[in-house]
Amino acid sequence: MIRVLLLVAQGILIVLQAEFLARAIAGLDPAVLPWLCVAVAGRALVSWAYALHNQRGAARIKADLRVKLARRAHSRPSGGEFATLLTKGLDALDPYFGGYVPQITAAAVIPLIMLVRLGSADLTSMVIVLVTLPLIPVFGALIGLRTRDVTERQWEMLNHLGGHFRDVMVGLPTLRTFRRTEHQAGVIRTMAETHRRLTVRALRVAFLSGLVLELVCSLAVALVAVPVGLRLLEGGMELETALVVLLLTPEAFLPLRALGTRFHAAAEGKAVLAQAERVLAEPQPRRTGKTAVLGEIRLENVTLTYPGRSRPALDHVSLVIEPGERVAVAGPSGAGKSTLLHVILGFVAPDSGRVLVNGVDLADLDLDRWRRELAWVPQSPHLFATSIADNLRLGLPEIDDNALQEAARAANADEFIDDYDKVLGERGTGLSSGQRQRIALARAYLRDAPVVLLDEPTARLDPRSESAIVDGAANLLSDRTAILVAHRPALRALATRTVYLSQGRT
Amino acid sequence: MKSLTVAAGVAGEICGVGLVVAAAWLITRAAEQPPISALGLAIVAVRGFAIFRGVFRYAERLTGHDVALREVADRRVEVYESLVHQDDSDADALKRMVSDVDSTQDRLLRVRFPVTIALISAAAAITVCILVQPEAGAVVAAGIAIAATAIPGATALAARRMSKRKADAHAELIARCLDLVDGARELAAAGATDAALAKADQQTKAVHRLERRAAQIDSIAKATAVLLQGLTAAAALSTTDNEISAAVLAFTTLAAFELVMPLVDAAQQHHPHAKVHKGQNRHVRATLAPGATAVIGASGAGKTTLLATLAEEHPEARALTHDAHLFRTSVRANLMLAKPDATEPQLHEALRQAALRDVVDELPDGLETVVGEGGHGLSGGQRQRLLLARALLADAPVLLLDEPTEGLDQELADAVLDAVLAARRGRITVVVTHETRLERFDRVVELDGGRVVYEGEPRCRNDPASCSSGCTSSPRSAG
Repeated sequence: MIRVLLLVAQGILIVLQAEFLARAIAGLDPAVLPWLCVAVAGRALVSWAYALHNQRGAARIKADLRVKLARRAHSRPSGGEFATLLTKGLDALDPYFGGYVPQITAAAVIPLIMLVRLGSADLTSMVIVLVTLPLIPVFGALIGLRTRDVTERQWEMLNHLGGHFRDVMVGLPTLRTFRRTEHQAGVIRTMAETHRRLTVRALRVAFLSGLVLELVCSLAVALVAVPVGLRLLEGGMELETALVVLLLTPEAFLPLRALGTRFHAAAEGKAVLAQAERVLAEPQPRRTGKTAVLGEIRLENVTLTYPGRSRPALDHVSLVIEPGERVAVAGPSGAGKSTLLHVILGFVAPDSGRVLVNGVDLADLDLDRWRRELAWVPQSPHLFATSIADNLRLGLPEIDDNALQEAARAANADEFIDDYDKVLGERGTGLSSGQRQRIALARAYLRDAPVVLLDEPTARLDPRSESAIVDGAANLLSDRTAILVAHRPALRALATRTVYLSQGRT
Repeated sequence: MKSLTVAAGVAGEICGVGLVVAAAWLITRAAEQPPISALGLAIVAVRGFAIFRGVFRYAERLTGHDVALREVADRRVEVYESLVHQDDSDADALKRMVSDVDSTQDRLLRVRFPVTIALISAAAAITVCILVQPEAGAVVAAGIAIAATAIPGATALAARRMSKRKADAHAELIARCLDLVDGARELAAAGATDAALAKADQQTKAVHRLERRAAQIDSIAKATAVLLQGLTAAAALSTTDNEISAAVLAFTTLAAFELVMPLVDAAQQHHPHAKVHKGQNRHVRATLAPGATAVIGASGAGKTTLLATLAEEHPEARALTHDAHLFRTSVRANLMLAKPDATEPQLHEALRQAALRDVVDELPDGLETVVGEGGHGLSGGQRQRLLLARALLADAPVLLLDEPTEGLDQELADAVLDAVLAARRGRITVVVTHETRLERFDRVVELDGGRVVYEGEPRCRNDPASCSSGCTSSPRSAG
């Protein structure tokens, strides 16, 4: 609404500026100059408000989308892709919401105001403009349809050729390894040349729409100006009116022309918007339910198949874990060991069968509260881009420094932490896998939860790191219920019994 | 070629300005009711400008893209040749280089050409004003100078400062996003999701604040240009007492400003120049010995660096490293990279050793299936085995393998490693590994903190007293 009001004001000020300018020229009347300046100032003011309104509108839409999308982060497959969508991706909405969408309104409002004024000044000119104006969208659409087929066919080819350089550059270390770097410079040159040739060939057609657009706009000015000039010659028209017509005719075409150029810039934004909307349309998991009362954890015929897989990850698994028991889960890789823990954590729900906590189905529990009873050390822990201390006290902001250091000692993590306030890089870069595992162990230690879930914390570690982890885990597990996914014997020794999983079956 | 683009662009813009100015002249002159012959030239000019403006613009855009793409091709070859002999460029730096080089195109098409064309055309318009009325010309020149330099300059300065801050804010937001996605389960398990979301929201607000400020800068710049345009036109036409001159001056001024006003947008474009990044290498030294050597040690002990050093010192060595790349081409071409004259049986043998034959047989086009980015999706384990098969195919006297069975499950890893060592019997093979079954190797090199702490037979490693030779130093106890 504000946008339409601003556009109407802008249209009126454009007309006023033209009137005053025409009078200043035609009568050489200096008295009109201050009025002209006022109109110009008004136009500048409105154009400031209009640009600010549009750009801030786009910024607000982006901020809203960022907040909403962040709430869907947990179900995204790739962090990098998601981060790109939220930063650079959404920035493509600037030309869409800040440029293209307002331009649609402008293309409806401004030409209308111009036509009204042109009509009251000179009906013939108005008719010429009225007839030529629709040619822009019509020709634009016709040529657009024609070129779309051509460009879509070539697009894949162009993409392939354009991507070649990136492929070679990223593969440079590999080429070096195999001593195959010499000929690539020639290949790069040839590929880039072919890319250029084909692109220019495609553009020859694609730019035709621009050519037609320019032609229509320019010819309309010529079509209006020449007859107006001839009528002036015969004395059938006032100079002032003629000048107003000449000033306003291009203004009628300007918004439509700008719409054409903004159309392409907006295409990317449109795609990003669709992507964001797809993400937001995904169903959200429920967050409320009964409060868990701790007791035995019972899996009854739990079966789960991941989407796109033919074999179930868990196949009729039944298992009871009594309080105080430490159960090791062993079996080959891909047997469903981690999935078992994920089911207990409520990250995935079984397709059939159920998980009962002290007799209550996990599906009816408040998962947030249930997870408070659990401490989980994943196979490859994620470390957050924050201080080591904050990484340790994840979810427990009230933990004090003494408790932190004690937990780090218990998890054998104190030996490599020299500064608890040191901020880690993205995804916790700077720490080895063994060190990450020990941080995760210390985290679990701090949670002081009655049930501990360890997911193969020593899988890919060298013997020295492994023994440090096993020592730390031993401290953690005493007096607690635990499920240990463990391949190696050292960790399995901490369990009171062992369950074997193979191909999703016990 | 570049001057052709600029010439076409300038001609197009001059036609655009010429169209309205000729029309304005035509109208004001016609109002004086001269004989129609006095208007003939103006009528032809109006029609000519109207037609040729579009044609010139078309030529400018087409040749501009051609020139830009040629420049990109040159830059690509140049950057490639400068990087070929540097051993230390990491993958991220390489990706950055690619986007830097490709922004050459934008730099030309969105900044260099439009700016040059706008400035030359505006100069032509100013010349017209000077010819009509020198005082008016001076006023217009001053106005255009401000609109073409001061306003875009100030905007560019502010935008640059802003884009630096925005990049920082984005980097922070990216870190929050990565934490939210990659750490989603940890956050859920720890009940820390809401706290992490609050942190992300805070960052979103910070980005939003910066975007609001950027919008303010941009809209003020644009409004100032509009103000300057109108005022300059008013000032220019007030210098004359002739209707025709007044019309020409006013219309020329308005059109000339339209030429330079888009410079504010060009000024806010920021295209960093491609830079060649240099890292530095550490060195870890060990000697090569015949047979199979296992390199072990904790993460960060220098295993990968040791392989890099060996590869550098032995030109005949071939390696499978962590940054090994699968090119977007067929499985066959990816393999043949290692040995361009490989025969069909040799290809199949390498695939068999890497336990990949069945997988390749099941691919839609077998050996001709296109893999790599954008190609047929291989699983992590399959990809790793294909890279291994390629390294084996090289059939090099020295083969360096960095965790060749990473991502494979234990049984497969054992089988593949055994097949590899069997195939390499009698030649030098160095394997960085986390395997515990070291007895299948002829020799073990253990690293710690970038130093070799053990070098000798596997069986002596745990019991140095029983072996008298081969140890450079006694192994430290674990823990």
